[in-house]
Amino acid sequence: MLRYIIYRLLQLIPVLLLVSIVVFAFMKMLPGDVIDALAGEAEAHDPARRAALEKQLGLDKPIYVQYFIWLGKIVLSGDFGKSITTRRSIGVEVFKRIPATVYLAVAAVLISLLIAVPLGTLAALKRRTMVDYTVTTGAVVGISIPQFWFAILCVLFFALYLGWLPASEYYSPFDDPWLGLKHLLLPASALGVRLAAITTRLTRASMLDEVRKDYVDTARSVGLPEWRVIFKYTLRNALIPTVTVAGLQFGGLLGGTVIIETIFAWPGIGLTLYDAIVSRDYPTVQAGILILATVYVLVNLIVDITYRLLNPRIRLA
Amino acid sequence: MAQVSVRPAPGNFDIDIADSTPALRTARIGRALKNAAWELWKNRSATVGAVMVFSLLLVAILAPLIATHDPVKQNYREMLQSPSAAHYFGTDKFGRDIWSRTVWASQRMLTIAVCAVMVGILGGVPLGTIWAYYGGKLDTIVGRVVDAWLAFPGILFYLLAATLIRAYELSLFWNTVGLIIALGVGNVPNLARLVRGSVLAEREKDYVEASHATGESNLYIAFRQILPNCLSPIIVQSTIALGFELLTIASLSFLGLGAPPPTPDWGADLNLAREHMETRPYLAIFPGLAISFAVLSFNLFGDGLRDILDPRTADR
Repeated sequence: MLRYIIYRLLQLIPVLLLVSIVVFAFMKMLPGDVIDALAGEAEAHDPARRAALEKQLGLDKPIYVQYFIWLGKIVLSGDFGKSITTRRSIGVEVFKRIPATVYLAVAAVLISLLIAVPLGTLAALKRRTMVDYTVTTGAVVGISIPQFWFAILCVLFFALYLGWLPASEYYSPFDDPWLGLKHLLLPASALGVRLAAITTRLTRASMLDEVRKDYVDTARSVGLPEWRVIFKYTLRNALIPTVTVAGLQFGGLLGGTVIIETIFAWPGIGLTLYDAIVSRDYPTVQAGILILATVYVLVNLIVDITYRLLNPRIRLA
Repeated sequence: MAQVSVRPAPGNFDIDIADSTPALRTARIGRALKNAAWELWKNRSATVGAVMVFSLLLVAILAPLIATHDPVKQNYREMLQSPSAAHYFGTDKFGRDIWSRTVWASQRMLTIAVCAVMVGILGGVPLGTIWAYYGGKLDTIVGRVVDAWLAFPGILFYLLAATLIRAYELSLFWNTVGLIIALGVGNVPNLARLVRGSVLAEREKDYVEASHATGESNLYIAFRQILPNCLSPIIVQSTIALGFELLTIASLSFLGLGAPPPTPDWGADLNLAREHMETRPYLAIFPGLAISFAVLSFNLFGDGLRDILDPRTADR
């Protein structure tokens, strides 16, 4: 087990390196000359001034040296450079916005679990009845609906038509919990609907597998009440692979944050990334993607290790 | 004197090749098709999915005929109209007929999705087969590369690629080609992994050893013998991937990263609709409905195919 953890931690390095190389390559492949963009007319055409500017920006060095300098700045001092649009340090700006995205993502995961686990269990227990068919159909539809369309529909229905929930703005839960919650509900639901659909199908499938196992018959024959059999034993076992795969779906959540935060004007990394893409603020795009990709890789690692810890068959192997 | 060893080739699958005639072979194909249709009909999800996919394809192919107006031409006299007999889905803020735009967009979206999945297959299947069949050191190296590739979150890669493509401001054709390649490349590791699993399982079987013994080359065994037995998961995965590609394309266009403006596109239309959500909600409903219908059709069909082709994982 420990060996596996060390192996996975070591594997992190090439993956993160790959991520950084891809992001760096993206930056280098962008069209347009940085010198032309930064320098004025006269300077751009004067070879001496050009050379001086190149030296200043470090562009005269070979490309792998540039890569290591860039990587070194990020890893050692957290310096992501300056944003083209705001001219402020990117690192500070982006890190200020991480909490909002984390808040949204965690809420989305919680909402999806709250919906999916009961529904999936219900569908598994009442297999081949109307309940089951409704839930499975609902799950397939949930996977097929685009998240952003669902978000727009929610806004149309709950915010504009019914007026129950607000459709934008963000309030920190630490400042005002009730307001924060109200503003959180729509974006988190929109983000979580896909995850809920996937998790419902998974829970249902896992429960169906578990309920057929021998220990369930044993528990029943020993005389345990049905609810105890289901909730205390079957559900817990079924949840392990379910929650794991749901956790691995986190990547989809990350992509969704970009879109959902744009729709709901939620001040997180996703919105920053979108604004940067639109305003062609490429250094910020780089930083945003790098951070999101790193978070994704780390979360996957944590979920994988947690799964192996929770599953005694693997932990004790 | 009958030949003892015959290299299998199209046309002589029968045990006794002397008896095979074109008529027999046609009859066999006909029976196989009828069998397939019956299996499809038995599985409800597959039937519904197949009908939906078929109608989607029909709409996409017949787009020039069923569209009522020009999807790109702006007509300010008729802007922001509600659905009516003249404009089935209403008009958007440029006066363009939404029904026509939706129908034309289906052509573009389906083409991109199908091409992207094909690129994924063309890249992933050979990669997976060679990776699994040859094994050894190649297995470890390719395994690392694919793992790292898979670890990169898909949507972020597509965002990067789409931003890059947009920055170059290419013509519509090259823009689309770039998008297809980026999406296809994202599909490759999944498919390679899948194929690897199947090939690894098949590799240990007897017919592989038999082929080896009769002196067939490794490449021949891998591609002509093993691969045809691994087709089921590839087909299922590709069908479902089609649906997800559609979602990805729509998401990218929604963010403004897909085709440049006047091109009809479901995601882009949804983005335009956001401005008028309070006054004209119908603008947002129809493109989204189109996306959902398309993705749902591929998901249902893929699920049904999975139940048919691999009964062990079937639920009912």
